[in-house]
Amino acid sequence: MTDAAQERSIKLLSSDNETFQVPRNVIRLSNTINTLLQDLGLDDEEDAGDAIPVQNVTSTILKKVIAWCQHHHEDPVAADDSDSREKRTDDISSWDVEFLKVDQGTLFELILAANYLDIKGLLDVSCKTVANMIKGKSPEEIRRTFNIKNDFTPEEEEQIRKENAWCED
Amino acid sequence: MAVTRKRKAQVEKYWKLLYVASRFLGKIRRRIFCRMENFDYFPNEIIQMIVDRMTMKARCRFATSSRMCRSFVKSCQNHMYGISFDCRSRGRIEISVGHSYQQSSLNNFSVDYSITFFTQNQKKIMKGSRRTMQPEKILETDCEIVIDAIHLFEKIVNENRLSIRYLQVQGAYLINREFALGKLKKLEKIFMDTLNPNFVNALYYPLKEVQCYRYPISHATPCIENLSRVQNMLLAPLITFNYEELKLLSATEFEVSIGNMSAQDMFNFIKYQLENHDENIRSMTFINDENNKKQFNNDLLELLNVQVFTEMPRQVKVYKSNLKGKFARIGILPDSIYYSYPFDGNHVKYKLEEVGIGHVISII
Repeated sequence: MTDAAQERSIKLLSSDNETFQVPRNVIRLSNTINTLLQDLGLDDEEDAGDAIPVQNVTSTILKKVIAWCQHHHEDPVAADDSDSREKRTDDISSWDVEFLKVDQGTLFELILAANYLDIKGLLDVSCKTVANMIKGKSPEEIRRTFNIKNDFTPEEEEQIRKENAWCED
Repeated sequence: MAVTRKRKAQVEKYWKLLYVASRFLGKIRRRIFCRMENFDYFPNEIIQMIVDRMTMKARCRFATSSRMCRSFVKSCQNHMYGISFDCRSRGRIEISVGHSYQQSSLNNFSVDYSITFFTQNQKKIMKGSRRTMQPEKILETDCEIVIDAIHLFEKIVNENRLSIRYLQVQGAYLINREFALGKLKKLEKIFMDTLNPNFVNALYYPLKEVQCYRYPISHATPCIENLSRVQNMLLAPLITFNYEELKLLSATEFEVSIGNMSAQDMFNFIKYQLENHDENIRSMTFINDENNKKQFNNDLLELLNVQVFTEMPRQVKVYKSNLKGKFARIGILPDSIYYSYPFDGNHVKYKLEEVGIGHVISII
């Protein structure tokens, strides 16, 4: 990517037809957009032309995604998400903690958007937030929190409860 | 004037309509979000990502919530194992080192480690990480983790000026028997070598004894091919019972593994404890492992019956489990009977009749 390409803006069109102008170096965090621009040969174009439709993401969520990218676009590039990388859940930055203090629906939509746009950092931090929401909750509380239907038979549930009794202290 | 009133009524009507419509839209929105809040809505790979980022306990609880949730955890569940350092005193502390692993390729395991410590009132995860390694490296890494945990334990005790009177080390390794026993032996040595003698002596109540038990943990049992054999081997106390050492023990509650003790040894032990120890003894727990100890129980019964401890201020009971071939710990506290069956997980309090206790001996 040339310097000129870094400085220019890209237009993104949300599913509810709202257009967002995003600096190229901010949206570089999205691998989906990167690949799209490269495949279409638009990466070095002065004018990328029409807005890129982001069909699965609403304007509210897209706005948040862009805000996250804006805050993190200068972060050093993280290593590949290999198994060797430490997967701690207590290393979320305070900015991200505040950023992700949203209702559950928004948080889930953010995860889906991060997955669709392939923004690894956002996906990682939002998944950690959900994992943290589960931490310390009993199975019943987990069901309530995530509207999970208990589809175990009483016998199965008892068996599983026994298997997992070690975590019930 | 009449026109103004009419317009005012119209405006009010519109506002009401608008209010009703907004309530209706709110309901729809809530319905949509309810759907969003369901894990079913997520692609599998995202749920897996979330599960991968959970602590082991959270995974277990998640797995207990539904079939779908269980399917994401099951792959590693059968291979979980853990070690815990259980320290009981006036304030109970437990440090547990736990990890789960799953085979990510033929020669590599992905291992989650976590060190947790618990006190009576708080629970805190201190450290967690994931590494990929070859199977032979797991032991090496476990040793590092155990050393970390011991240092952590020392730090917590020192910082909080805790009085530790009893320390129990428990371990469970259930990949296969040889692997498990090899690991435990090495870890036992590391524990004993690492625990700083100065630290032990500096405790408010110097630690006089470390008891180590091996026991299989429930969620890993499907991995064992010959459960009863492994069980017997794993349950052997790591530190052989030593009556002389136990004489020094001054604990408010303790467990004794019967192991290779004779009934006479046990009788002497009970007698000694009752005659020589302070009034702080609240409970005595005798661990009797299986049905081949029948003779032991009968002999002990006889010995106890011929002696009269009328001067003893407290009651001691010895229970024997009727659960043949299974291992159980049965203990007595002043207010309750505590029955622990390791494969059920934690210590559970039962009424006597529920567990089918055989002999009850009272010395008053």
